[in-house]
Formats: sequence, structure tokens, C-alpha cells
Amino acid sequence: MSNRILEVSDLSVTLQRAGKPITPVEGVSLTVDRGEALGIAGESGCDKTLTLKSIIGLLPPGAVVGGDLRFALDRDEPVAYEPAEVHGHGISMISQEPMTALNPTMRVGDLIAEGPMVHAGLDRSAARERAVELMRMVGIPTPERRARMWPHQLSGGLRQRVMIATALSTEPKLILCDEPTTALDVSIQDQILGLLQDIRTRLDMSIIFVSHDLAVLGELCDRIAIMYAGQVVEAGPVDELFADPRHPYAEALMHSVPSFAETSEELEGIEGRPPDPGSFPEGCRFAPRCDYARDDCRIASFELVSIGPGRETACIHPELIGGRQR
Amino acid sequence: MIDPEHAYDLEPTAEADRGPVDERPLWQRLPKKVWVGVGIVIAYVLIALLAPVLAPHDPLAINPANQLASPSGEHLLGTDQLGRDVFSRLIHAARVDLPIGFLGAAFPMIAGTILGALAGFFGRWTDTVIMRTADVVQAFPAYILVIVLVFAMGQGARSILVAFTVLAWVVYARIVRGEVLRVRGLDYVYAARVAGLGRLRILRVHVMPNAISQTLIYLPNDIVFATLALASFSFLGLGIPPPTPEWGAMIAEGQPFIRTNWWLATVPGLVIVVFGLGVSLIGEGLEERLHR
Repeated sequence: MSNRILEVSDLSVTLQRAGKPITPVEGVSLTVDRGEALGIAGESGCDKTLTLKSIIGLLPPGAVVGGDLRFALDRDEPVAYEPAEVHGHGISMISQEPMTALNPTMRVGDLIAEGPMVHAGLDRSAARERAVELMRMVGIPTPERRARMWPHQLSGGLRQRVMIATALSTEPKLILCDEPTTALDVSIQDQILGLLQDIRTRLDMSIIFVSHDLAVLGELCDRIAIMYAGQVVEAGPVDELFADPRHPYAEALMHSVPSFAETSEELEGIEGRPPDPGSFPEGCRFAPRCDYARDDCRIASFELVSIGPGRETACIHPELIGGRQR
Repeated sequence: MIDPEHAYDLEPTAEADRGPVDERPLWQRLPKKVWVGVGIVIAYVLIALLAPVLAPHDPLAINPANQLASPSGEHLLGTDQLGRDVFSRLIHAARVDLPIGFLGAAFPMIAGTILGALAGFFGRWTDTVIMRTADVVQAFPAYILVIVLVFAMGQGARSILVAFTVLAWVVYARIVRGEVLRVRGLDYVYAARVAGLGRLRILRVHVMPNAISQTLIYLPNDIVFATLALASFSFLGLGIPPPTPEWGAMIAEGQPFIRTNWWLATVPGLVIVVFGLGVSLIGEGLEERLHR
């Protein structure tokens, strides 16, 4: 039996903007094993969220998805699927904003009870009991009382827990997390990460966790994929990738984070910003911002190549990395 | 290596504050004007319900011997040109004007809400058909359309209600469509889709309850509009046929005597104004509350 649960190969998303087609996501390939947590990192504007949404079919009307999506629910091998097939059956999602992710006109208990009612065929009272159970599981104190409350009566952290309970209510095998801790204050952030980690091991679930925050990803994930300008530019196990980045963008991201810089005073930003999907540069898309860029970088075609067990990079000169003048 | 303890403040995070929870009971949370309006409307409804008990005379009884009498203890507002008791007619007219006012707003609201929700939620050709129809309806001069419909279907409450519904659903449809488009793109609707709930369930449970507040604010305006429109059409002889008492028709009947018996036209007018005021106060108060 294969251990693979999700296989994304050569994913592209094409949107219409002002009458012209743009392709903000291109050639993205990802895999997730059972019980594995994959992190997707990158600056804002690298279309990490769009990648996530195309996995679960939440793209705006008119978007065209190319490539191959495969998911293994109860089968041995991942098979191609339509997003509607995995809605409520295998994949769940947790979004960024706990303020807007809960229907304000429903009591939170009823909201969580919907999945069990619709999919497990529980009657209303059984589904409510299940909701309370789920709320207890995600660490909501006095769940019986809070199940009767409205979303606006809960704090941000509790709302995020309610959202997690809702995501778990359909008994998924894979949870997509779109920066679920970004809107929370740091102490709550830590609790929610701990909760996700705990749930993942207890229920043997897989997670894809999108964040711009490398420290958060390092805490939770087994593997990380670094995205830049709609492409995965480097992927590998967390520890190895952090210790020895093989793409200049990955390296630059790490130098912009306090805990990765050698001394705390030496934080470095990355000049410029990610290019707009309407005007991606020729060749390597990071080349215009890259300290190591050579002439052949500007004509190189994109390919993610294996450079060791589980490690891939799209850089054509990975040997140069680390020798940068500081 | 990785040390998350010192790496948290990469981007400013804002604690999602819990909104202030208003624990006051409902009657304190709504502005006072709402309750003034509710009081006025309830008074009118009670008068309409109790009309047979409250009215001192039969509103249809003609008395040729006592035409155009001035107010007296027997006839509080005098009599009209057929000798009918004006006070009793005013009271009984509430049984005609109020139901048509309320239903003349409720029917368009129901029709417009359903059509607007379908247009906004399903989009594509559903949207095109419904909204282009709305454009066509709106392109017609409203009053002429009512006149045509009343001529086609015959005078009476039924024709008036049909005419109002055909005309006024457009506004509700536009409001609801816009709100549905807004709500449809919110995270909790995406979450409901990912949870694999049916389209109609999402529309009913997650979209509509969050999309109809604007129509509830507009409804009182429309009740006022329907009541006034009914009075206008009756004034023009297109509304409720005589001898049924109706406020607009009473104004029309009293008009020739405005110099001698001014109250015949003025009092029904005031009755309409006060009712409209009551309903408007409710609408305004709700709007203040919801738009805070």
C-alpha cells in the first residue's frame, strides 16, 4: 500500500485579468504522505493561497486549472478527483481569518453539527452531541455552554478552535491550513499550533500548512516547499532545508528571519518584491532579485531537479549558494 | 538551528478582538423611535381588527336626510355627501388599507428575495434572465403599468396586489442579489462548500440569513409606498371600487367640499400620514441599529 495521500503534478492556474489571461501558478508539483505535514512558504503575493484553493476547487469563476491532482481517500493509490468529490469526504480547510470564517447567524454548536448531520446522517441531537465532543477535543473549555454561543461572543483563539472543530467534523484525512495563526496574537498562535500538531498525531492526519512564517512551519512541518512567483523553487525535509538551503530565494528568506541569522543584528531583507503574474521575467523568475544570478539564469527554463534524497531545487547554480559576499 | 521562541514577530499580528457584546434586552437595544413606530402601527392594527366594535355606525348606511352634517356627538366627524358616518368609514377603511399596504410590500419582498437570491447565487444564465427582466420592468413608467394591469384584470384589491408585486420585486431582487454576491465570497461560505454541504443548504443556511438584513430595512419604506400608492390609485378611481371605505377614495370624495367641510378630505389624509410616520420610524430605527 502506497503511503501517498496527495499528488499534485504540474499544477497551473490561469485567470482572466482585464481581458488578458495570466498564469499566477505554474508547474507546481507537490506530494503529501499519510500523516505528513507539508509546509508551503513564501512572501505575500507568491500565490500560495491560490495553490491551496485549486487543490480543493475554490477558485473564482473563469479560472482554468491545468495539471494533475490525485488524492487517495480509502484507496491504495491516489486517483484523479473532482473537487466536489473531496468536499466533506477527505479534505478540509482552515482559513486565515477567524472573524469571517464562521457564519455569524449560526450558534457555533449548530455550525459544527452540520457536517455530521449531512454526511454521517446523525439526527439533530446526536449531531449536537458530536459537536460538543469535537469542541472538547480541540480544547474549548465548557463546550456544552459554548456550543450555544454565537461566533461574536467568542475570542479569536476560541473561534479558530471552533473552525478547527468544524474542519474535523467531516473526518478528513488531509487538512489544508491557510495561515491559520496569522490573525492571532503570539501566545494564542502557539496554542493553536500545538493543537494542530496534537490532532495530527492523534488522528493520523496529513496537513498542508501555508505560511509566510518560517518559524511556524519549522515547528509543525516535516517537509517544506518554498514558493516564489507561482512556482515551487525548493522542497525538502525541514531540518535539511533550513540547515542548507539550495535555492537563493530559500536562503534569502532564512536570512530575513531572526532565528536563522547568525547574529541578531544581521537581519537582511530581500530587495524588491515578487513579480506580478502579468509580467513574470524570462528565465528564472528570481534572477532579477538574486545576488548570485548569472547570465544563463535569465534564459534558464524552469525545472525542479532532485539533488539528494527528498530534496529538490529549481536553481541551476545551487553550488554558488553560501559563497555570497556579506 | 530553528528556534521558534525568538522568531515570532516576523509580521505584526493583531489579536482578533471580541466585539463588544450587547447584553441589554431587545427593547433597550433598539432605538426609542422604533417603539414609537411599533406603538402607532399596533394601534392601527387594533383599530382595523376591532372596527365592527369601535365604529358607532354602519360605514355603508346611507342617510339622504343627513348629508354633509358637521361634526357632532352623534357623528364625531360629521357625514359625507351620502349621509354616511365619516368616523365609522375611517375606522373600517383600515381593514382595506392596512392589509393591502402590508401585503403590497410583503409579496414583492418574497418574490424579489427569491429571484434576487437565485440570480446572485447561481449566476450565469439564471442571473441574466432574472436581471434583464428586472431591467425591462424598471424601464416601464410604474404608474402606467399599474393602470394597464388594473384595466386588464379589473378593479379591486387583487389587481392592485398583483400590480405592486410585478413592479416592486425589482428593488428587492437588486438588493438581495448584491448582498448574496457579497456573502457568497465570504470565508464561511467557502468553508461550507469545502464541508460538502448541498448548494441549496448553503444558500438557505449560510447565505440568506446574512443577506436579507437590507431588505428588512427597505420593507417599511415599501409598506409606506404601497399604502400611499393604493390611496393614490383610489383617489384616481383605479383602486378599491365604491362603496367600500378606503382612505384615498375618501379624500377624493371629500375634495369638492374642501371649502365648507374641510375635514372630509383632511382627516383621511392625516390618518394616512400618521400611519406612514409610524412605519417609517420603525424602518429608520432598524437602519440606525443595523448600520452602526
